[in-house]
Amino acid sequence: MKLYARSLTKYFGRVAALVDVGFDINAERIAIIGQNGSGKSTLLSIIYGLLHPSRGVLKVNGYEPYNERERASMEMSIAFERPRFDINVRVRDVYKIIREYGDCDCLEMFWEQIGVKSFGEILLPDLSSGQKQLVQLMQALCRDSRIKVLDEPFSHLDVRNMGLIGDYILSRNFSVILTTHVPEEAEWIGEYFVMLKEGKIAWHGRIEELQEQGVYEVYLRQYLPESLEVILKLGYVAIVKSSYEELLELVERDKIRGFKKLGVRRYF
Amino acid sequence: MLLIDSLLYYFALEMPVNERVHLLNMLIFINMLFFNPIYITSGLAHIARSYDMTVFEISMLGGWRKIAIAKIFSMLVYMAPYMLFQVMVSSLFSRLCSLDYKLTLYTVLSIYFYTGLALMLSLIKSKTTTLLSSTLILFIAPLSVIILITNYLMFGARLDNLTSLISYILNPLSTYWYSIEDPGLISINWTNGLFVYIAVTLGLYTSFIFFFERAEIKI
Repeated sequence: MKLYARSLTKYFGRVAALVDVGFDINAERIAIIGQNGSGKSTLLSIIYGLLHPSRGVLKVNGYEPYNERERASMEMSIAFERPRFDINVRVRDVYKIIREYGDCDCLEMFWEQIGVKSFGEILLPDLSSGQKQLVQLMQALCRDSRIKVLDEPFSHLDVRNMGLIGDYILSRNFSVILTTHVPEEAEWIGEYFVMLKEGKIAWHGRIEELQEQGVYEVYLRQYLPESLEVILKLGYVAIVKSSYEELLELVERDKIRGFKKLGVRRYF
Repeated sequence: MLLIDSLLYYFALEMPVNERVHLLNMLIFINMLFFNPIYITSGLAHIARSYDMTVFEISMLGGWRKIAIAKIFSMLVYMAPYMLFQVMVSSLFSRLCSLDYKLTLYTVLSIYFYTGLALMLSLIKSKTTTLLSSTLILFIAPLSVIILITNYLMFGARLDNLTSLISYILNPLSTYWYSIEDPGLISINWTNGLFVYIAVTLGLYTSFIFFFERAEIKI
């Protein structure tokens, strides 16, 4: 999948949601990462063709999706965060519609393994946030489309369902563009990363480019060990300068929960 | 609706032919100002969606135009029983008042027109605003024509071409009805009014598809 952007800018009134975003990516799984309000959903809306950019251009596999909406909607399917369903249709009706022309294996995974069947009789507006998320993902992943556009796909999901869906995404041939504000989710699924900060590109590239000798991300166990040289602390994760042996010892003494090589959290 | 129309028909049967037209006038009035807005808005409640739901449907079914056409089709299917009922009632009353098919024709076309107008209103972002504005506009538009024409009637004036056109578009049934009562009132004959009306109605449905396919949606 080729994703190209040049001077991509989007204003909502006077507010700039995206400013001069540019990249030229050739990858099958692209993760767009950023904090709340960084412009991830706006970028996704333009990718799916829901919005025109105020300036600049974006192309998906050579065409501009906001100018060729029919083509974009046939080739791509989308699942977005926190949907507001306002029609009285049951989940099993959505399942039946998708079953007419969708991926049966995918549908059976959602229906039986993940357990969408258990709330099949419930109306869409009455679903919990997690259930709505599952219905959205069922629609986006099981429909016959080449590119899946997923906005925070794992939000509101429990660990088990997240695992099943993530493994499914990795095992299939389709292309994926997903957004997340959780670095581990991005690093799990993504091949190529686009980091957004206040509507601008902070960094984009592959994970190998991020890794630095002697710098690690450490998962804290309550308190930060004083022996560590901290570069940045972000909640329960700290970016530290240390050695592999020292961190391993801290894990064995239960001072930290674990550690990994520096990843996209670097740009937070 | 059935009760009111039945009562009017019953009373019309008891009246002399030249007085039945007053009941027919009342029927037209009630239909244009009450039954049409209520029924069409109730149909719109099935069509109007939040943008989230629209995107969900587009993604699930894989096409903007499919969804737009499906909405038009749903609305027309919903309106079909109402339209059939109105055709039947207007045919019965036309025969009773010794009038020809034109009244029935305009009854049907006005429902198509207002359905198209309601579809355009369904493009509004908020479902609540859509339903409220639909009820208001479908009530106010025909009422304004009735007020306009009765004022012209009161002063013995004649509507110019543009005003006649607008009257035909917004309330063809009442405009046609008043043109029968006072042949000199409306400056456009019913055939020209009909062609313009059909063109505007088709334009509404085409515009709905055009604007739906170009709606800007942020998820």
